[in-house]
Amino acid sequence: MNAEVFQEVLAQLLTLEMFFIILIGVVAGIVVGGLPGLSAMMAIALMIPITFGMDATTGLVMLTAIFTASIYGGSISAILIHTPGTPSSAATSLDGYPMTQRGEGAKALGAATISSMVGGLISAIALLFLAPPLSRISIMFSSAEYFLIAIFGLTIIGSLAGKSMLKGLTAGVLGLLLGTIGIDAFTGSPRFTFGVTTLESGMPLIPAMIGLFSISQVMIQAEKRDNNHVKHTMQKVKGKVLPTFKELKMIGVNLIRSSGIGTFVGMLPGAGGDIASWISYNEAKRFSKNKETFGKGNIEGVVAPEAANNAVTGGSLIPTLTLGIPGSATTAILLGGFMIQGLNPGRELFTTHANTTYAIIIGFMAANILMGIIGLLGAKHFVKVANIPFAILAPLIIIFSLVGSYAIRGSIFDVWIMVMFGLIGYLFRKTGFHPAPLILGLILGPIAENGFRQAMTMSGGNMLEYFFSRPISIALMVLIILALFSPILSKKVSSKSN
Amino acid sequence: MSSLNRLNQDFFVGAALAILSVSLLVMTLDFNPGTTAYPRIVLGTLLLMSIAICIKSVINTENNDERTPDESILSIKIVKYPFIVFGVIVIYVLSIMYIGFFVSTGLMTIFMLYFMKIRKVRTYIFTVVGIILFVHLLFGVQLNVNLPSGILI
Repeated sequence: MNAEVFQEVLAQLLTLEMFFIILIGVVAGIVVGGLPGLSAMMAIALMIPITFGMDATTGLVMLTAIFTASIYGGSISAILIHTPGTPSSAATSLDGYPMTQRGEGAKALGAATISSMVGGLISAIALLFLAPPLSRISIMFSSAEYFLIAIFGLTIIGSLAGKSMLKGLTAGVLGLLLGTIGIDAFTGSPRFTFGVTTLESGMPLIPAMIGLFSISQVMIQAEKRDNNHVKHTMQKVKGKVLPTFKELKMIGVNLIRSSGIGTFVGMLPGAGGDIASWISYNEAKRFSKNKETFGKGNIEGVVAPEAANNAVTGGSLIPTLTLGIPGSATTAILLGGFMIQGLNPGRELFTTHANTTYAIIIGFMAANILMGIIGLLGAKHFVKVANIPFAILAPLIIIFSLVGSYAIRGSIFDVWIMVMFGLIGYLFRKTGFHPAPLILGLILGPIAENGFRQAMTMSGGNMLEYFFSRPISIALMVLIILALFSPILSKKVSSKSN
Repeated sequence: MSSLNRLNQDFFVGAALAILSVSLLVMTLDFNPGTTAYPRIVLGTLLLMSIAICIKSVINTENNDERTPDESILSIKIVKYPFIVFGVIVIYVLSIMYIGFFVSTGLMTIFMLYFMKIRKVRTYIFTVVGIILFVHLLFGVQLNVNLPSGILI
């Protein structure tokens, strides 16, 4: 980033409007994260249409703020009411809740807040310095590699999102199929439009995303109608939020180590915050002088998973922005947000769109700092959102979904698409499929097809020879095979070790 | 979850996807020849995977490791409430086209509160007024979003 770009970045970020956007993103993220049953994926899918009317920097800074704050928000309910708001906060509840029971809830919240802030910040710094050089790899890509990278991204998310690899990959292929709907860019003839003119421009991504993640969630929650009025018992939050200097010194190394683990795990496509938080928790226990107090309210057991799960956010954005391979299911949706704003992953993000991209990254850093400040000031109040009845949230989510789907093109057809995908999403989740690979297939489908067809033309009909004559293609094919077989191998290894 | 139920569910899911793949593959026969290669590869892959799901459901009926938290056997008891909510959403969208966004939103909110067993009148008033005001101020005024309209407001 040169001085000129840096000045432009500062000019975009140092405004009152941007401050409020980050503030809204952080508060919305903490609230959604604190509500068990609602996810960062849903929040981002719902907010993309709202950010559509904003300029790219403002909109995407808001989305990244929601992303990091929702991961942190999950820790508040994990610590105070033993109900992790997000799966990545499950490890936090192991020591966070016993601390609350012991009357140290405020200290646990403080430790979680500082750890989340530091973890997020370290990962944002890694994103700032690692993403630009890594994006140079994308310059070496031709059509064949673009096809393979799309397949690789899909294979990774398909094999790791959800429990069944076969179902995950099937969902991804269904997404690729949905991506073929519309007028073919090469010949101008329609495919799978069934005579519907609106479908000629392709399957609308945002309504599909909203339906899959939001409406399906409302339907899943409706199953619990008969036992929906369970109020969480809240322990009284007492004491000081800020840890003492001695405690800070004790957790320092753990904090840095866990942030590093989180950033690294985040960079591995498909591995999410839950994996990073458990690895960090185990490492913290391994290196701790007080191993026996883990699970009984050890502050180190709060610091490790919280630093790691927030560090995953910046880490997972690295492969997303540089190569277009989402590091997690949430970044797959975020990738859609980038592409809708005309920001395609790759080297161009750091050259042609450098001022926007760097502003988003530095805005993401600012969001982590603001999240820390807001968390330290009001975390114990945010937990009250966990008691908002779903009866009130359900109509709100439905209205947001409807307005969001309608707002983009002013088309009621898009609303029907959202409704239809809501039903598909529900049936998907009930039958063990994950909606994330389907959305990623829809996003990456056109890239894969363009790459495939251009490669077919360039190869003169001999695709295999063409693919095997390019070293990067060979490397990508090896990665695809590894991605396909690694879950099977890791299962075998873990069952052997058990 | 009984083995038989699980076999049925995954088998039917696989079979449905296989039928979909074959139907769409047949449909590609009418496509412009230059556009068919990629969709056919995708559909072929989908067909193979659907068959694999069917086979796996027969061979391995009780694999607890592969079950997600949301997953369950679809029965009337389980899908009853979600499908009522889905019906409400469909009626809500239809009603917007006729009676307008704000009236429909108010009615949908009232129904959803009643459906979710909220019985306090005060909650109804605050929720409906609060949601409508919030949506109007956020989308209509602040974000200047085009809201759907009907005969009424």
